[in-house]
Amino acid sequence: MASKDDIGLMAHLMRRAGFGASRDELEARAAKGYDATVDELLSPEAQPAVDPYTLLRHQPAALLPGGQPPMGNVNYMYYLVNTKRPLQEKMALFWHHVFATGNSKVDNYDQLLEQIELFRQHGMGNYRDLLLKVAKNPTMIFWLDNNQNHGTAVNENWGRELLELFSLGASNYTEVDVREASRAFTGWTFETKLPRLPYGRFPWKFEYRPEDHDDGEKTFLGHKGNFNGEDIINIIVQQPACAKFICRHLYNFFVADEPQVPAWQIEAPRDQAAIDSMCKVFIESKCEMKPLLNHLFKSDFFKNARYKHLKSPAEVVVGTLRLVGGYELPKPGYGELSMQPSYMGQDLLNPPSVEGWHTGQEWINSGSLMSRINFVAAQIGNPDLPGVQAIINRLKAQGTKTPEQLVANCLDLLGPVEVGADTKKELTEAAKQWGDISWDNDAGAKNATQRAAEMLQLIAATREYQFG
Amino acid sequence: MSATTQQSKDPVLVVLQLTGGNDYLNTVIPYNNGLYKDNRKAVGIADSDMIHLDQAHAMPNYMAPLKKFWDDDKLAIMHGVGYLDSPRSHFRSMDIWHTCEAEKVGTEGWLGRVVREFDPKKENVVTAVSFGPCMFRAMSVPNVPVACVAGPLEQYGFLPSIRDQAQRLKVLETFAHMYQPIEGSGVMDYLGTTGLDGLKGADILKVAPGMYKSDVKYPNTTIAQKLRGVAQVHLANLGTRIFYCDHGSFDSHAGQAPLHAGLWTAVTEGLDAFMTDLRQHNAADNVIVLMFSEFGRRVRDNGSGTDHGAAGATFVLGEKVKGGHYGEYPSLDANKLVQGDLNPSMDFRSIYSTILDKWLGLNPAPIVNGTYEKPAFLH
Amino acid sequence: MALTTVVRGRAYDWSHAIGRGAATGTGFNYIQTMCLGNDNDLYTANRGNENNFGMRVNRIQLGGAGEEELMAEFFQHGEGDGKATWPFGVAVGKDGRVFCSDEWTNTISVFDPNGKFQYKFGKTGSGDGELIRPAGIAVEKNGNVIVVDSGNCRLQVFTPEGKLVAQCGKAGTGDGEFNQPWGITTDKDGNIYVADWKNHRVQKLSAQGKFLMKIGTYGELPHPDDAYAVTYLGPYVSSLPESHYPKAGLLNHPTDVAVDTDGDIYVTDWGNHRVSIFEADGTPLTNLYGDAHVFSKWAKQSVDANPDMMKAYRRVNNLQPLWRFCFPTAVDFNPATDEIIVADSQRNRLQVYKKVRDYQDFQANL
Repeated sequence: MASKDDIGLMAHLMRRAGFGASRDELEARAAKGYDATVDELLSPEAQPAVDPYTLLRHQPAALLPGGQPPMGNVNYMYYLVNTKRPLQEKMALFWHHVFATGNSKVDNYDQLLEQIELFRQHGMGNYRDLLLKVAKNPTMIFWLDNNQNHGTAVNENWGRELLELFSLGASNYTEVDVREASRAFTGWTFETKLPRLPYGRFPWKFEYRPEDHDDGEKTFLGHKGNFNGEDIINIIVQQPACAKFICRHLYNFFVADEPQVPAWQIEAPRDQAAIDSMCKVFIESKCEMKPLLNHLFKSDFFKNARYKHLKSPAEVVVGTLRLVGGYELPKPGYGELSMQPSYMGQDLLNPPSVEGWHTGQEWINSGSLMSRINFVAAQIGNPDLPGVQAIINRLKAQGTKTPEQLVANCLDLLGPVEVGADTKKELTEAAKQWGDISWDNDAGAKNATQRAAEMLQLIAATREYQFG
Repeated sequence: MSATTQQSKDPVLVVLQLTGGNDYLNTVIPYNNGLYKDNRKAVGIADSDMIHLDQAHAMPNYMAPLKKFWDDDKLAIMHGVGYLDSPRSHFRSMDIWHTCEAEKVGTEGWLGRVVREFDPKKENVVTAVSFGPCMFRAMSVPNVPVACVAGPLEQYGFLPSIRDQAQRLKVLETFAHMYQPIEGSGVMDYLGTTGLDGLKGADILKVAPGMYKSDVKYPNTTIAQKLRGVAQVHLANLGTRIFYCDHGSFDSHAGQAPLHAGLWTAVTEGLDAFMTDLRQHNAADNVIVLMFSEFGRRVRDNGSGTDHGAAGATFVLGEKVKGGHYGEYPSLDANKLVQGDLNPSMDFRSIYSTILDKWLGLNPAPIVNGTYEKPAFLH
Repeated sequence: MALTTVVRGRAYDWSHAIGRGAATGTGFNYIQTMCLGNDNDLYTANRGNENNFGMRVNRIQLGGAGEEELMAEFFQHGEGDGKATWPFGVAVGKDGRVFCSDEWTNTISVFDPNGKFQYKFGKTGSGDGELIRPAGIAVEKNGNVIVVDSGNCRLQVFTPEGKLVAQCGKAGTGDGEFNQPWGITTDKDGNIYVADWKNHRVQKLSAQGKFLMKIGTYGELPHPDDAYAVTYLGPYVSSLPESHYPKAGLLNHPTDVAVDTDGDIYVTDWGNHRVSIFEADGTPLTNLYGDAHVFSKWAKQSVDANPDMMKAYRRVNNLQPLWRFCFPTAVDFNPATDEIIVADSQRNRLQVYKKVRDYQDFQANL
């Protein structure tokens, strides 16, 4: 049987490399071992993909949801809640944070979902290949105006963000490099799409127009040639700055909160040694993501980073829904459910700008904190949901009786969650008001269930629970 | 009946967002224009179903409560409102209205900037109150608190899922203890302050329903109930200067006639109850209501409804409003249309500028990102 | 693909399209099932979306191209009698009663042809007469109603008033067993055909529910690497001729079945975005892929009102994605007109083909 610490570490891994796991799953995984679990997470193709047909049978409007919420969000949430390939889905979310593309301009959830699907398919592959696919992704082309980047009139939007936000980070290139990179991507556009009326949405298709491409010589990051877009990407990924930038993004997303991206040129990483070791793997493997993720999840700096990351709204909502269960099939109300991250400040498929979401502490304001606490409490305090029932059954099987036991066991089963001494004291004080609980008869069990549900809600409301 | 406390006279702005794109042509009907009837074969308003405002304009019967404001010279109708190169996307368009940023994706909402001006030290966490599940982009500026009331005002606050009120109060007491700031702890400290701000906002707002007494019956529609919440908070005199609520969806691609009628009946009846309520409490003088939609709709109907368009109508009403028409109704001539849409003749930021300058007493330029004409619709 | 498909003495000639995307009024919103009425009319059950928009059954008067009219709309979203949460099945009896299933409330509501609510029956569960996620419905000659009790993987037969008469089937992959079946139809002899959705096949049962035959094996349509994906789940459009595609026989989540007066069988091969046609004994004949190259009457109104749309159409390199089926959910054969009517669900339209028995070939050296 797995030790308590094994469970704690496994819970940490599953929160970060996925969206949490039930106690049953944690015990099964801990029995298999930590490294074996990492290996399994890195082989998503061994697990079945989410069945899109079941979604479309019950919610056909989720395929081509158009520009209005929530059907696009329903589609995405269904995948997040049901995936048996948690790391694949988490990496897709990671790339959504990095290559932030928003419905506010695209006005096509269809295209955004297609982009997420691209991240699912290629997000754990080679970064260079992914960057090239993103450069050819019509949604990205429209988002950053590359369809208006002409041989005769350069639009630098894509060229600039490619360097600043997608690969190198500010201060690692010059304005001339932006200009030259942009020239290299002239003619990268998409075919006219079939219009949405009267039969619904149709997709864009990438198109290269040689007659609109600036074929002249370019000088980019010290290299000279008649570069096309792919050449630019090949040069970018050889830059040491590129490895640093991607590794720091991964560290911020998977390990511990870093300052916001614009501050990276002035503020040193929180753990330089960790970033250096990641860069080494990234460079040696020639931009392969899997060896890098393998290194990250098996490193001590990761294992020691429990609760050093403020959960994003997507992690809060998806983690909660997977924990409490009952959301495997579409049901009425799924739309409202899938808008929950937006109420907490993370409107999935619609980040505020190409900079993506500001993470860490910036997830929190008085409105978003109230939304996240109230959402989690409403779910976790509902004993009708199978996952909550499972927790209560365990509390009962453990013979939970005293206020101290109630607090300790609830903290354990919700995470284990680690709280400060003051918080623990307050929780215990609250439980003491209720006195001992008993599961002996119907009335006792009913009261105990009620108290347990309230304790779970109170824990979900703690400051500590906002970290993952 | 009069208010029990001395009502603050600081000017207050209530924004009512008509989400989804309201059909201008069927809201302010150019009934003498033959092109109106030609283009609106399926969803046109019949002569018998409209109320004339004057020789040129009419409202559909189902907007009748608004007519009273017009007759009292307290309703300003802004014509042809929009902006250049209207994208006809709900999101993009709404974003432009919210951030005043038409060229790039903006990050600060115009009303969030207003709140920051009013309360730079964040002394009153209910300077702005929004009635909706999440913060509208118009209110969103990093580190500017806005109270978002998702459900009934009575339940606003942390942990409404604990139904037993006595139990919830006890739990919230524990919550307050747990969120005591921990000096020098960085994020934990910040979380503590934020949590206590939230508690404070909830504590402040929750007094409002208890203090509220009124004879006015609001209809049982979502918008009327939101406006009732606005009235409750306004009458509680909590220092709230900006209220925000929305109603919709006005996205009437199909079956427009009953849809449009239902929406406007709810909005105008709600507004009527709201203004009556404020007047009865002698608290109407310092309130104006701005009603806008992200765009108007296509001139020619599609046989059942109308599709996304460009120019629309914006309304401002209140005791201090100078009623009348502002701007010009864009031409319906086929050769004057842009992609089949009315060409905007007034920039929406003009309306904001008047409100900021003449009502809220703020310099409009840094808030709306530029200098615009200021139609004189306020006394 | 061609506008006329000729195979073994039959020709299928694309005729016209009906409808457009519309949450209410003249158009459709994700048709799940449909059913011919008694009066050259057609009922469609629309699922709508999560904003509780578009759910309804609509009755369309049929005619030649452009003669369709909307006659009634009912079973909209709401609570209480005559309202639906998630409409799914619709079927009409000889006496005009319209039976509609709601796969969320697990009930069958009954209407008159004008959409006036009559009564309802059914409740949630797995016991006799109870339902879980009821899907397609068929009315037998004697007036009894066969309900595809999808969540329970069985068929249940009720009197029109809702009294349980018979049932057959259970969860499984064997003969006479089902996995989340969807649509259902009966032929002139009373045999029952069920689209056994998650088992990727159609099963033919006798009127008594005895297994007779199955059609189809699971297969996703192969597509060339350079094929253009209209959605990320297909259809895939390539420049290759029809001969590149496999014959009927592979099915990917079939949703509905129809039988014509000659006994030929039509299956909506939903996940492969086509209608597969089989001979009465199950021999594969051919496929239809969708050929809607002419706008329907209501679609044209939308385009006329939006000049930008036509501008865009004129710039598009390849219009084929517009013509193709996208997740077709339902098929019916109209014996009065020899028409095959296909519900092209994601495109919110019907595509109508005519079956021609005496097709005269043209001169090949034209």
